[in-house]
Amino acid sequence: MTRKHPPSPLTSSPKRLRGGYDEEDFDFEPPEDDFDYDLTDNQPLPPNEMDEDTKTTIAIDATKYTRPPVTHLTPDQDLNLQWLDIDTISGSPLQSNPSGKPVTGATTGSVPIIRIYGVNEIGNSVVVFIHGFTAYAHFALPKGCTLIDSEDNLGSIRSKLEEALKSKMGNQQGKDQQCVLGVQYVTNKSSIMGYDPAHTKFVKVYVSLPGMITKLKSIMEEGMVLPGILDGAGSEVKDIVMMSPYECNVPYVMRYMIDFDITGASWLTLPRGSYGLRVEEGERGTHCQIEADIFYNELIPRKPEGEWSKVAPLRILSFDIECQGRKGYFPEAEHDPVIQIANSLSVYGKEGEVFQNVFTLKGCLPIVGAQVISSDTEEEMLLKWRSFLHASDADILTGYNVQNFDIPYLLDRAEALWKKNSAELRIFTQWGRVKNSQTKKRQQMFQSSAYGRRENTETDIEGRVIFDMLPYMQRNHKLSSYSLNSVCAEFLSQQKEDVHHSIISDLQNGSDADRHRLAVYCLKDALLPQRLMDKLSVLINYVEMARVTGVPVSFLISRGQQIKVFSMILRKCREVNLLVPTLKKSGPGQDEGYEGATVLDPIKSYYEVPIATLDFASLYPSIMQAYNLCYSTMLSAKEAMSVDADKYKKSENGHIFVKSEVKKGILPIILEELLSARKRAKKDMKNAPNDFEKAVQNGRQLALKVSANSVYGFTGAGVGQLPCLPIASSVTSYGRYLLERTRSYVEENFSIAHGYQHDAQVVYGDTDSVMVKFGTKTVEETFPLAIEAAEKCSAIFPDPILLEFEKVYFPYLLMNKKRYAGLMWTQVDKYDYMDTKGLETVRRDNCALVREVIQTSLDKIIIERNVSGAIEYVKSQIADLLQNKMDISRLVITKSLNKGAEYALGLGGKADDYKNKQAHVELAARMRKRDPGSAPQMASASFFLHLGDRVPYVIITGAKGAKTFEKAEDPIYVLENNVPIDCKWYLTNQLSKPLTRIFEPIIDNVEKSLLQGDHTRKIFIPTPTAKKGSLMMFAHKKATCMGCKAGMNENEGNLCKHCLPKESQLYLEKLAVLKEAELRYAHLWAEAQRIHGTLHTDIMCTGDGCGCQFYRRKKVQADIRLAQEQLDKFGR
Amino acid sequence: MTETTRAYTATHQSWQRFHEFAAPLISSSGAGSAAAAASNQQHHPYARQYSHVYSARLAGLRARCLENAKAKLSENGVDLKDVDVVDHIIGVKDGKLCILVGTIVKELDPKRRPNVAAEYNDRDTCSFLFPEGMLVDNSKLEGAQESLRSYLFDSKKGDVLHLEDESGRVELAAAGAGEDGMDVDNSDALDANKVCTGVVAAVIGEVSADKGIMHVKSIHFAGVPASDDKSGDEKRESVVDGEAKDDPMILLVSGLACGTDSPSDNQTGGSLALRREMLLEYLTSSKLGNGAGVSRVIVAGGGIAPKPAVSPESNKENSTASGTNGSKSKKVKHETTPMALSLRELDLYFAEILSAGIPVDYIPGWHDPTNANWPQRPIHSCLLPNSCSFVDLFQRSTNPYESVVGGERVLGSDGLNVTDLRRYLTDGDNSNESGDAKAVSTIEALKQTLKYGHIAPTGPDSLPMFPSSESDPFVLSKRPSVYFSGNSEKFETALVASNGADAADEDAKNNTRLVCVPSFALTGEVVLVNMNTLSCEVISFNDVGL
Repeated sequence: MTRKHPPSPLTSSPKRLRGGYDEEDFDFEPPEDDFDYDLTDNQPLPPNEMDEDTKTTIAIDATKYTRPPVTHLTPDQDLNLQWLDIDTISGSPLQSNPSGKPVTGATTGSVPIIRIYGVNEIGNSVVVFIHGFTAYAHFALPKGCTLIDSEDNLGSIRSKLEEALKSKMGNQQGKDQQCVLGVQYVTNKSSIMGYDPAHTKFVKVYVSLPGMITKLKSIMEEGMVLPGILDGAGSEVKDIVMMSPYECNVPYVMRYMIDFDITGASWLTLPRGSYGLRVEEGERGTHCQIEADIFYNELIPRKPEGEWSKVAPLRILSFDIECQGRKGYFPEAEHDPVIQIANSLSVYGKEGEVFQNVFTLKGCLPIVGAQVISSDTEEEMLLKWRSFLHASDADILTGYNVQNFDIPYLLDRAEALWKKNSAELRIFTQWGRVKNSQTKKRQQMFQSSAYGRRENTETDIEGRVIFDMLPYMQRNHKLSSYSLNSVCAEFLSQQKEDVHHSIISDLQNGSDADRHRLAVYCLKDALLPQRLMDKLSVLINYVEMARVTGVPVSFLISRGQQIKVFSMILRKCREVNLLVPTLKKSGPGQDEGYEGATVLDPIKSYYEVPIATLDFASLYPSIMQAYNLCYSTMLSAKEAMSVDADKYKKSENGHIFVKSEVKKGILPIILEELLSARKRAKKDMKNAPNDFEKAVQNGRQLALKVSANSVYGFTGAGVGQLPCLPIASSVTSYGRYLLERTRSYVEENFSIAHGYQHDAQVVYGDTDSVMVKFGTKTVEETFPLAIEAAEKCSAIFPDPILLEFEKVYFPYLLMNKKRYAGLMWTQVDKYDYMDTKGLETVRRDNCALVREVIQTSLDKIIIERNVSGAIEYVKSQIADLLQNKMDISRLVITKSLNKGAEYALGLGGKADDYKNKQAHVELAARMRKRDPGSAPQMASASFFLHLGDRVPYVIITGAKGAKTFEKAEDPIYVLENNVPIDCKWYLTNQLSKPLTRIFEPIIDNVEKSLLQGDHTRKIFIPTPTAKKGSLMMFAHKKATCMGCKAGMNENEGNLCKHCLPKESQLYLEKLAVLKEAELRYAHLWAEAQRIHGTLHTDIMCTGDGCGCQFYRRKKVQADIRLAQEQLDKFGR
Repeated sequence: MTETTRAYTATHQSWQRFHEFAAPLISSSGAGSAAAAASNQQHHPYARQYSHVYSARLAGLRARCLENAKAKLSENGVDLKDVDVVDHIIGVKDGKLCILVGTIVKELDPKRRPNVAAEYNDRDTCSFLFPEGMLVDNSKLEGAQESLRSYLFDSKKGDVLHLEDESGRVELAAAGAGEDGMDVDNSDALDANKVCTGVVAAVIGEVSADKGIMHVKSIHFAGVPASDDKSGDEKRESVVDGEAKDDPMILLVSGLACGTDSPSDNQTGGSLALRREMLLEYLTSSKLGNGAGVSRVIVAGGGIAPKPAVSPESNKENSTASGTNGSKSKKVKHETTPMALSLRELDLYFAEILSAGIPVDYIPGWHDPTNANWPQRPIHSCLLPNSCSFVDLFQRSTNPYESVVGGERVLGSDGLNVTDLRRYLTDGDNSNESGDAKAVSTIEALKQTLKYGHIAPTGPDSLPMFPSSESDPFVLSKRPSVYFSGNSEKFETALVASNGADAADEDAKNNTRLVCVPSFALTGEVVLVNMNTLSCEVISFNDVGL
């Protein structure tokens, strides 16, 4: 169907309506900020500049990385797409409906248009403009009040609201047009709050632009005199009426998605004949291959089931940039050029990467398997990259820390350049699918109870989803380090070189071969995030999460947990005609706490008998289901008096909820659906015909599980959308009750009195698990008892609370609350692995020595069951430590430079941010003075706030009473100068606490026997070597006999007359030292070459977490030098 | 030495070329000026990395590999114009026949790589690379070899073969032989189990466009180098001056294992000390015809018995340089005392041979008291004071050893290079699926090093090596006439013609005599090599009637 097109909506100020809120602030941004588009930066470009792609097209076979050509050319067939991104712009309304049906919504002024970006089955990019959906909100009449439901009355209410809104709008966009489009009286809905909700009568108000809802909300909350409102007695209210807002905080796009049951990342069908295609270049507004217009009610959403659970061939571009920093500074976009951009493109459903290339500044030798595109100027390189970005047309942009580093850096750099007379770079920041639209970034505080508070840079690229792997890893995996290197070592068993950025600059200034080296490194950085994504099925898991919870994929990445639950509640409420109130934001002060989960007091001991673990399956969700805990089932104490007593149940902490037979709560319904869907998904996973399908179903069941568990959190979040402490606190109180009940039941029934052989004892319990000692001696005997206990307990609890028997620990070392270790058995014949909780084995703050000593001790105690061996081991380690025999690499502690450190380093910043002196920061400051070039760099304030350089240090002996922060020293410096380590400090501050914890349940008086025994008597402190500038320079070094250290005159050789006969003996001793050091050198450096896959080039890696063991390599070099000097004194 | 008929020969020690690489002396200035110390620090050879070794090696062997590859092509009638000689590996173009020269890298899949570095433990550090049992007890040697079978290269398990130079690396895969007329005989086909990491080779093949893998049609090594111009003078000298009736003979022995009374040989009942006495008798007595002809004794490592496997505790004692700096723990003394005794025994033993006027060249071995990284330093003079008093006769050599005896170049080592190489090479056709590939014999491995043009290709990857930078001392630049390796489990020998193949003509010039010198401690055997004919025979001291 051909038709006249209105001018592209993009010519009027485009504006993205999504985003701008975080957990605290869920409302729309006040439109003033956004609608007034700052035109100074975005003046329409001269035509020749707009025609960018022709100038800088890359001359290679582009079909390797472009999308397949379009075959879908007319609207007379169905158009299916899987959508990923959604946004809203304001534009002119479509004058005619492509389906031929009447036009809906406003026909004049500016109206919101929803853009949905997606991909069709064959991999063409599609954008759909959805017209005609009008924003609205509900406002509740005060309790008992009704409204005269006549057209006249509603019309006069509308004009009153229009007037009020106009007066509030100021200079805002849309003030010249009709704002309030209509008013409706709604009586078939009620509020979700309470068993007998106060609000059952609503006014539904339609507005022309979604941004007006916020204004309208404050008008209604303030209250105004409205005609036709009748009080309970039927007489008209003449006073100001305040109305509570309902569902005013639902983003416009979500509103549409909810109303039309569109879930995130799902398939949509544009039925033939119902939509129009934009074919001519002039009417097209985006870089998408297919553009379609449709009215909002024509679109058919597909449930992600059966055929529609598939995933389109989405294109994922992973990239990484390298910058050339100045000596002593972290790269800043203002000054430092981008020198390389590496890209790796993959397509969902195709194994491996489809295409790789790297853009370099200045020449670079070719790379096998990747295309190298060199440029002479940075501007040229950036523009070429942008052309590539459009040509490859990725749906998803990924990388490692791209969100907070690479993307903002590129944007800032381009801006810095065009301010310096490179006007052609203005178009560089047009990254999105929409023509002539700049990509903009903004700083954002992100707060979430689950992920903590962090500052982020957010960038919206229209039509492309940014999916940064770093935050993903931080959220989903507990690791000791999140550097790309260690993450890849962990999940891909691949290492990459950690090249310090000061070296990058040297490589860039070198030859083509040096830049080639850099490019290879850069490519690997681009490739690894993609491999990670693949390996961890990240994409599919997020797609499934979006489908389950119904929110766009981008929300999952940039938002917390709440939006997901909120979306599910809204969807469910819509089905049963309930409305969700928009609560006033409670300040942080009102965040009253409630009692959380309980922990049964541990009976600390080392158990050499099997301990069975009984777990409640999905405890909190099942409690909510079993006791019907919901907003809609809650009764206040007063209300309860008028309700039949057997219709409700009082929770353990006194809140009242009606039983499910009376009124089933929304939350229990949601949970029930989620959990039964999960069961289905698990079954489907088992029956999956191939790996892709399996991954999809696995992602689905995981998404369902996570979503079910986040419902409880939603009710308990103090600053949430709909917090309800009575629900949350009831959940935890029931949890405590169930735990206690299980304990008493097990201890009472599994006893000698009841015919069992032993009295069972609950030794520990935490949140949803109970550890039971049945008194049996073997794992085989324990299993049947545990299964029986689980079944019997489940029977006494209401459905669906289920106690499951999962595993047996044998032996089991219970150290404290949340700290235990044990050998885990899930089957009778073979143990699975050693399970540890809350121990120092993973924390990075400790030196490697602590982690190793703890791990080895536990291995000995738990796996080998050799307690005395463990004690011996610990003693020998302590003795080695005190006698300075410990390898320095085991003593290195690393900490990252965080906020406040810039002040200490003299790089600005505020003194307030740095109140307590920290060892690593002080050291960095001192090193900076020594040699600015090599000192760890402070991350520029805006970037890397979480990934500042890690500063490695060791604690050295200092003057008496010196503070720890004064005693921190650079390990390399210590190695080179033989500076003595403060062994005592390591013993008391690093080792003693964790060791005490482990051995306390096992032996008496740990302090005395382990930390102060004979093995701690001998202490050795080396003499520092002389070095220019050090104090030792002024000490006169007297020649001494190598054998006995007796003083000797010069020119008398190296041995005194008493030692001379022992020359060979002494020589052999020194030789053994050299021999060992040489072997160590050979081994470490050869291994480093293997790890980094290079024989012919030097290893540059300085990563402290890398398997190539930087410190040990450094140390062995120093050791050899020392040993050789000693040996060479003997001559030949 | 009254009526000796000993055929003395002129010798030129040329192991000095190794010496400069063997942990060079540092200008020891003791407390010296800080400036000197600082400059030491910068120029200390161990501040270097191993990449220089590979670069120097590639530079030393590149031209020869290339030449051999080209010669082969011409032989097969291929026009060299059709073949690209690529200077830098990354310069390789898709889909064109080309020659690449680089260093072979065998990369085990990271998951298969023995995880030695996971936890700090000095005891384990070297156990993969240098199995403790190795050479201590040769009966375990096969076992040690077999335990390493699981680390044999296997592309099915995700291992990858690369060719690398300074510019980068390219993956190698064997191409089906005999395609497009390039009929390559099997010996030149790429077989991952015929090479090891560190070997320099020229490969001929094509790089596939899609994956960037080089499909190798044939592989060529540097081969045996040309022999040096024989200075006729030397040759003549030995004949004329010596008035020798007999040809000059050198006696090769390794594994004297002084300091051990055992292993007493169960079969013969003769103890090792007794055997040594018999050897001494043989050498010094002018009556026994053969021994009198020995013009030089070369001891190829294993002079003293290896110390018994050390406990980890005492090993640790040595691990920290500063630890032993001042405090001499009792353990160290205990440990080295037997060593001192063994050395004394060896010293006296040598002194007796030397006093009979027989020159002795002593190559230190793996367990001898010298440093670890190749080339190993000569043993220190203070350890063998008596022998060292024979200034002209006793030569303390580096390991490896090289000299010109009677005009013939003699090259050899204590055998660790060959033992190490054997871990990577399999015997015969590896294509059988049974998977029970056998390690190559010692003599085959020795031949292979000749073919590679390099004495110790596995270093520094798995053979500990000094990080030399300017040149690689182990590159074979001149063809040796005698090439031996010590401490073998049995005597093996071969005569190799100048083209690297087994010599057809026994008498032809430019042959190389390869000898695997059996461990005396194990076998009671020594090897005699006639320097004129290059014939060799084994003499056993096992069943001499007593």
